[in-house]
Amino acid sequence: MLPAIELQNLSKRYRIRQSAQGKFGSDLGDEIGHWLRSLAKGRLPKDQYKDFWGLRDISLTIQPGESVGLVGRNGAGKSTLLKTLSRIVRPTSGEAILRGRIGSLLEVGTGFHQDLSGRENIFLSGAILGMSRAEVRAKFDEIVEFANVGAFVDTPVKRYSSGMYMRLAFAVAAHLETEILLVDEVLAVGDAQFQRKCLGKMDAVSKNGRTVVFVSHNMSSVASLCKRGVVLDRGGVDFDGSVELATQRYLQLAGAAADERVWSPEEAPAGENVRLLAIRVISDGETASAVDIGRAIHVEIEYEVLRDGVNAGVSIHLLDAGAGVILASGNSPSAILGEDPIGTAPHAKGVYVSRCTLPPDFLNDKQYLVSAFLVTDVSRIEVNVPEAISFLGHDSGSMRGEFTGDWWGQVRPRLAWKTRLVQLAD
Amino acid sequence: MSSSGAIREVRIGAADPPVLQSLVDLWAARGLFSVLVWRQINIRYAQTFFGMVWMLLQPGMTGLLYWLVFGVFVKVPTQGVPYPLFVLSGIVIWTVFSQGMERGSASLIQDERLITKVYFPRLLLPLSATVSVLADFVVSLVILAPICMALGLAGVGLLWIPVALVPTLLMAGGMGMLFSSLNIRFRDLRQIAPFLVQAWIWATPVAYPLEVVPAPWVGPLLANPMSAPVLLFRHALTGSALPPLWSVWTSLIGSVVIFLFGAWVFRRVEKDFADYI
Repeated sequence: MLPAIELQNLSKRYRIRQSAQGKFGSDLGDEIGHWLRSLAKGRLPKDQYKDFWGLRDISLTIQPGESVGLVGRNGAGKSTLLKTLSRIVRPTSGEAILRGRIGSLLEVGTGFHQDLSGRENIFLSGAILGMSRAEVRAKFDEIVEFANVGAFVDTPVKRYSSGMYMRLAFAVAAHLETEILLVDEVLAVGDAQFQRKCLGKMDAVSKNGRTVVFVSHNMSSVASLCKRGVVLDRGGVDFDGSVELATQRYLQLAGAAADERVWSPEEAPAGENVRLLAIRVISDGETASAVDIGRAIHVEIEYEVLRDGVNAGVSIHLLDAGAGVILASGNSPSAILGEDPIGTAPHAKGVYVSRCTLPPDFLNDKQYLVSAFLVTDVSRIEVNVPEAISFLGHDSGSMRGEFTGDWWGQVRPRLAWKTRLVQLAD
Repeated sequence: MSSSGAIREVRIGAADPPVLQSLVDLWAARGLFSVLVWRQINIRYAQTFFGMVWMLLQPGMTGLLYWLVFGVFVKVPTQGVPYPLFVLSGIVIWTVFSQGMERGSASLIQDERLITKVYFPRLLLPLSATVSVLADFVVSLVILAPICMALGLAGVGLLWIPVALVPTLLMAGGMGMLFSSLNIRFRDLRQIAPFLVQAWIWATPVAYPLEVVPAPWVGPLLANPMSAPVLLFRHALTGSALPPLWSVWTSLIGSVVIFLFGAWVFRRVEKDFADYI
C-alpha cells in the first residue's frame, strides 16, 4: 500500500523585511521614522530582506491509518508544516504527496458566522471544511447531539455562550470524515469534560483506520492519541519515533530535561545558603524517564549547604504536562510520613540527597513534570527550578484487571472501597 | 464524498498546478460555491428586518437623485419613456456591475480568516461575492418588469436581458478578481475601486440618453464595454433604441478579456495570499 503522506525535502522560506538597523520594520510608524532618520543622515534608506526558513528539508513518510503527533517549541515549524499539507501556504521547494481526501482543522469554528443560526453554520462550516451537502445532512442530528445545543439550533450563534459555540464548532469538525485529517490544537478549548469528549472522538477517528497528523502543546493529549511522534525544531525534523520518546525529546528541548538534571557547581541554581546540584527520578533503583506506576517512584534532590547551621528544607511540585500543579510536598517534620532526621535538622556544611517517595498505584499513565525548591527557615525560597525534570508514568497493568479504558484524572490512587447491603428486595 | 474507489492523489509543490487541474478543482467545489453565494445574500439581507427594502433602497435613492437632476432640472429627452423608468433601468444593470465589482474586490480581505485556516479554491471567494448581486437584480427586475409591461413598454424585448447580463457579470467578476488579489499586497487599492466605479458610470449612458452626446463622442462611448449592456437592458424594459451590433460584440469580447485577465492575475498572486494577508 502506498503511504498516505509522503514529504520529500519540503522547505518553506519566508522573507522578512528588515530595515538597515537590523530591526524588523513591521510597524508603519517605525518604517516612516526609519526613512526620516536615514534621509536626515543624507542617504537613502536601505531595506533588506532576511530569509527565514519556516521548514527546511523535511522528509517524512506516514502510512495510512497512522496517527502522528507533531510537537515542537513555538516557531519550530509545526503550524507551517500543517498549513503546507493543508495547501494553505505553498512550499518554496520540495514536494508533498497526499493520498486521500484531506480534512484540516486548524481552528475551531472555521467559517462560522456570528449572524447565522446554529443550523446554518453547520451547513456553512461543513461545506467550507469540505463536506458535501448530503454528507452534512446525513450527520446533522449527530452533530447537534454531540454539541448538545438542541433547543438553540435555530438561534444565531452570536447569542450562544462561548462554551456552546465551541462545542458546536468542534462538533462540525469532528464529523469530518476524510481519509487524512490534519489537526492543530483544536482540542485546547472548552471545559475539561468537553475536552475529554473531543479526545475520545479523535481517538475513535484514528482507530477507524484514518491517517491523523496532530499538532499540540499538550503532551498528554498527544501521548494518548498518537503512537508515533515527530519533533520539529527550527524548521527541521529533530526526532521521529515512538510518542513517548518524542515527548521526552520535546520536553528536553523545551528546557525540561528528561529524567535527570545535574548541574556543575558554577551553573548550579543557588541562593545565599543552598545550591541545587541535581534532581532525578528513580524507579527500580535506577534513573528512568518511563516509570512503572504500579511501583514506588522516587524523586531525588541533591543539594549543597554552603554554611554551617542552615535550616534547609526541600520541596517539590508534581505537575501534569497539560493541567498544572497536582500536588506539592516538602520535608517539614509535620508534613511527612515517618521521619527525616537529617533533612529536618539544621544542616552542617556539605552535600545532601533528599528522596521523596510517591507510593505505588498512585499516579496515572501520563506525562509528569517535577519542579524543585530549596527552602531555608521554612518559608524562604532560595532556589526554584520550575519543571526541572519530567517522566512518563506507564501502566504495567496492576490496576487493569477489569477496566481497560482511559482512566480519568491527574492521579489514580488505589483507594479502599467497601460495600454493605442495606436491604434485600423481597 | 468521493464517488469513485480510486484514491485521490494531491501533489503539493512550489509550482502552480496545471490550469486543467485548477479547473477540475473548481468544478469539484461547486457545492461550496453555492453555499458561499447563499451566505453572502443571507448575511447581507436575511438577518435584517427590512432586508428586501435595503436591497431596493440603494438603486432607488440613486434613481431619485438622477431623476431630480436630469429629469426635472435638465429635462433630458428620453424618447417618450418616463424618466424614472429610463434611469432605473440603467441603474439596475449598472448596480450588477458596480456592486459585483465592489463585493468581489472586498471579498478576500473580508474572509482572511478562511484564507489562513482552510483550503479551497480561492477563486470561489471573489466569484461568489460577485454572483451574489444577482439576488438584488432579481428583486429589482421582479418589481420593474411588470410596471414596464403594464405601461406597454416591455414585451418580447425582455429576451435581451441575458445578453445584457452576461457581459456585465463577466466584467464585474473580472474586476473583482483583479482588485481582490491586488488588494492583498497593496491595501491602498481598496480606495481606488469605488473611485473607478464613480468615474465609469459617467462614461456609460446610465443617467443620460445617447442623443444628448455630441457626435464625435458617441463612438468612444459605445466602445465602453458597459454601454451595450445598459442600452440592451433599457431596450428590454422600455423599448428604447438598441445599441449598434458592433458595440454589443465589443462588450462581449471585452468582458471575456477582462474576466480572463482578472483570473490570470489572481492565479499569479494566489499562492502568496496566506503569507501576506
